[in-house]
Amino acid sequence: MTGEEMLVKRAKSGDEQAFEEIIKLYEKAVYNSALYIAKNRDDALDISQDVFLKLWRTLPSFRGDASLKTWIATLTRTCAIDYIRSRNQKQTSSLTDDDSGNEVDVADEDISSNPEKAFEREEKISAVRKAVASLPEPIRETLILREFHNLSYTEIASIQKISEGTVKSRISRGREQLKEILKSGNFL
Amino acid sequence: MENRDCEKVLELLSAYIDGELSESDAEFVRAHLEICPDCKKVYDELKETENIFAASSEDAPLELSAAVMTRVRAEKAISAKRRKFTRIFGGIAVAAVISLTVLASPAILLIASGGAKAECDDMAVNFAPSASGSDNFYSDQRAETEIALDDRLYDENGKYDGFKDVIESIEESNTEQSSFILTDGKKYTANLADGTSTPISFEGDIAIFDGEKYEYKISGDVLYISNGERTISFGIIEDGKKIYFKEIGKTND
Repeated sequence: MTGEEMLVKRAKSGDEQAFEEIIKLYEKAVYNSALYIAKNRDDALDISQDVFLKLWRTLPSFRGDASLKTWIATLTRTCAIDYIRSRNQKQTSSLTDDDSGNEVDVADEDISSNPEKAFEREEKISAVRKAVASLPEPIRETLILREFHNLSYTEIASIQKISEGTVKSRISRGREQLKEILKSGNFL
Repeated sequence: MENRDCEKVLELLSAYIDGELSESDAEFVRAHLEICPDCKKVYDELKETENIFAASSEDAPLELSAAVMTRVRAEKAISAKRRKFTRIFGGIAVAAVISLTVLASPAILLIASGGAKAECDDMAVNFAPSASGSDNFYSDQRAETEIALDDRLYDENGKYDGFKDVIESIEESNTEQSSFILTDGKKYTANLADGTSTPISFEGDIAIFDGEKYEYKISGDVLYISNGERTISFGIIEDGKKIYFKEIGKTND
């Protein structure tokens, strides 16, 4: 039994500490996926909380047929879809505009140590975020599953219910589009 | 020939970066990149794109795990209450979820047996925001489900023949009749109550309530219906020939 399987076993029996360790293992993947979808840190935090709460609720029925990584990615996808649906219904914001004051594009890191390099990095990151946001949704979703959840093409195909060939094609096209956008902005 | 190779390599580059190629394809790409500067340039750009994408991730906020754990502990507390509730209701039979009528009259709420009602209210209180620590929990006591029991649910003396066990599954249900399998393996059928307005019906694994589809589950003496956006739980109140499903909590998932 792997360390992760042990953690799952403990968490399933109600061990809060084990569950918290699972959160720590996956919070970055979940949060960044949510951030790319919500484009807003507050919303990304909310989505991430929902993902882990759902994980807690569903752990008792988690049998390990799929990996925990895949299960968490699936929950993230579900929560993000719910979020978008809810947001669209409320019509309070859009995927491209955000006026909450906590936008993803804001460079809020400490840039005092090497301001020039930090600025350049922030510009690149900002560019790639905008580029990802401009991708068609299916391609963006596939890329995010690959990039942040580090899933194999087989796992992504299973989550998105598409063929591995489609996964391969989406990732390839997505990367190509990102590359072209970054090139046009002189970031490559 | 080289152009054809370039074409093939460019198609494979992304999967090559992800380590998703067969060994022979990967070797083909690797060898080609060594001799083709044009394809190598595209490869380098894709790698750099990938690097920038990866670098765009940021650490999750510190408060994330703490916030989740707070809610987890709140849910555990609620579950403990629910188990207590179930134990208290342990001998009460559950029959049918036939029709749900939103009743304004609180009198119906009082039909329940005394002890049971107290626990039900207690349960409702514990779904309140202040107790759970979550804004997603609230209590709504207006809704009740009125259950009418088929005569077969009574023994020859006209007494409630005792659902000593809980419902195992709802076998079939429509707007007129529902069949239930209990954990003792017995099957019961319940007729609809007359004059109902908002029915719950069941089609296989799906419950339909107020025009919306829900998944449902019965655990102990609580019926849960969930559509992924909200979960509504109903506690069970029994009064002679009628059983009421009293809404005891609702969560926005």
